[in-house]
Amino acid sequence: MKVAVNGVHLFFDVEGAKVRPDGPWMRDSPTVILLPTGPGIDHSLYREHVGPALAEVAQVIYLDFRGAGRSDWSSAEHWTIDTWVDDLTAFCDVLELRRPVLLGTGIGGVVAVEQAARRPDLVDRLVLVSTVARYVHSRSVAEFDRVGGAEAGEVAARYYADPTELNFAEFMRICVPLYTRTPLPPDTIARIEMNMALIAHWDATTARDFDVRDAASRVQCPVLLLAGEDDPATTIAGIEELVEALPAYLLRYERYPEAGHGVFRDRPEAIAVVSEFLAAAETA
Amino acid sequence: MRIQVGDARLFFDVEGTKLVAEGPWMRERQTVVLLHPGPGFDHGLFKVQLGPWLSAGTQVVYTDLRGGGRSDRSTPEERRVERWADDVKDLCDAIGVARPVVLGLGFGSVVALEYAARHPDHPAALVLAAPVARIVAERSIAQYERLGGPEARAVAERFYDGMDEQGFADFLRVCFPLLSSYALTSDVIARADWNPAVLIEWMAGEAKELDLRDELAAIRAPALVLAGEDDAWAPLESAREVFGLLPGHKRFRSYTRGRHSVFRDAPEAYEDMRLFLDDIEAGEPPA
Repeated sequence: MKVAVNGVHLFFDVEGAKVRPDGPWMRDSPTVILLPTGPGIDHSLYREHVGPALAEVAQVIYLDFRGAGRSDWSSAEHWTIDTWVDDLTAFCDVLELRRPVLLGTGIGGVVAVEQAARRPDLVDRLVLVSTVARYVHSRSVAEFDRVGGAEAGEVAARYYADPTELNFAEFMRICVPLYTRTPLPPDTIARIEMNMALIAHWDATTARDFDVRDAASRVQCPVLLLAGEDDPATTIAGIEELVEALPAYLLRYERYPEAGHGVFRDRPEAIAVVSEFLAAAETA
Repeated sequence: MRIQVGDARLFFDVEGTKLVAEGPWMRERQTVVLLHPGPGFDHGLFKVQLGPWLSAGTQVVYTDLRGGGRSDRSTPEERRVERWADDVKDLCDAIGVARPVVLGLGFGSVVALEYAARHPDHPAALVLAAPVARIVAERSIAQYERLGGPEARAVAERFYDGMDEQGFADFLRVCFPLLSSYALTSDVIARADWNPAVLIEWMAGEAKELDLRDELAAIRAPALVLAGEDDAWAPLESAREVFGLLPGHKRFRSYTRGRHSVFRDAPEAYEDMRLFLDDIEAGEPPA
């Protein structure tokens, strides 16, 4: 499905009904929007385990941001956190998604934090997976070096210093397999619709200077934050900066040893933690 | 979810994804839009069995037609078959559903017929369960009498002759149970989000003059017609009339002891629908 927002068409898919028969009632289930796992990456990584499991307790909406997957790709000047937040606001508005739960991984989590800070009325709660407050590339280089050896560190350093599509191909080959401890199946990788130009653009621009610590301090809803200790992409040091910035009384922080980026592939039991968190959501 | 369609906001719900992972590909499945009986009723009846069954192999879109359920009430002038039919197209366009299979039951099949006649290139196929092209009161009244005796006849006569709220309450008590061969559970009735005023208004108004027989010639989509042989709302003769007038590829199935709730009454209707949807997906016109 697609809807028109802010001059582009955004693709979304749905798993699980919102309104479900329950004895003499039709009950509303919570809505959870799954925000993309990386810049220029579509929603497909959620399709195997996370989405189907969460659909047991909530209506799951898979969304491709502008610039990725089956949404309009638009152009580079629009590939910003601000645009994605504005698109998400309009998307919720046009479909009357009232107070959804936002679940974001990586860049999706960054957008979720910004959204919750700007429009506290719009969001019921946040699930942030492998989300850092800012990227410090030297930390990632050190982690790639630690989990993948010297070559991985060098390739990462080369790519972050000069994020061209050519260097990305090498990064994709050497470094991306280190994102998780459990390797991604080849079919899973083949199913991702990637916008390479956006990835390179992102790493050359916003990735260098964004910082959501201030936004995080203004979040007013409950937050569940899941992180893997062996995640070279969004390092535990960057995640702990976000932990520091979020209001402590709203935060539940789960840190998983021997888990990489995305957490769910390496530690499937983390999905049940999210389901339990969703079940507490308001169903306005 | 609700979305703006023309001058109204319409509720829709979704069960089953459009995309499914298949090896290295994401495969697109058909989308089936379900149009509920009514008018003034809601999509809830479909959530018990039909929708979940369909969602195993297709993406299912439920909607509440304007005037009922969680959609805007709209105005009497807009609560007409033509508008409901255009709403189906406009809803699909607004949420990016291209070439849907549209399934209507009872009044929903009236809307489906009008939609397919007004927008011949829009649907991929039609499933018309208990369809009529016009309301022929005498046929229905006779069938209610066969199933429920003189009291049912008297209540049905009032139903078709400009009932009031009391008349609808009597209809629910006396005639409604005759539309299923099984006992509707109290849960199903309790869950209903119905607006009887819209039904009463429509029965006294447009229903008396509605006649889609000439319009059916414009339909191009392949169609499966399912009829219950003991259906009082859509008597077999009326369903056959629709089938006879459909100009394109078409298939007819009727079920002994099937009533208006044709899928619940005749589970073999599910198998017939599956075969039809498989043929549509394979690009083979039904015969």
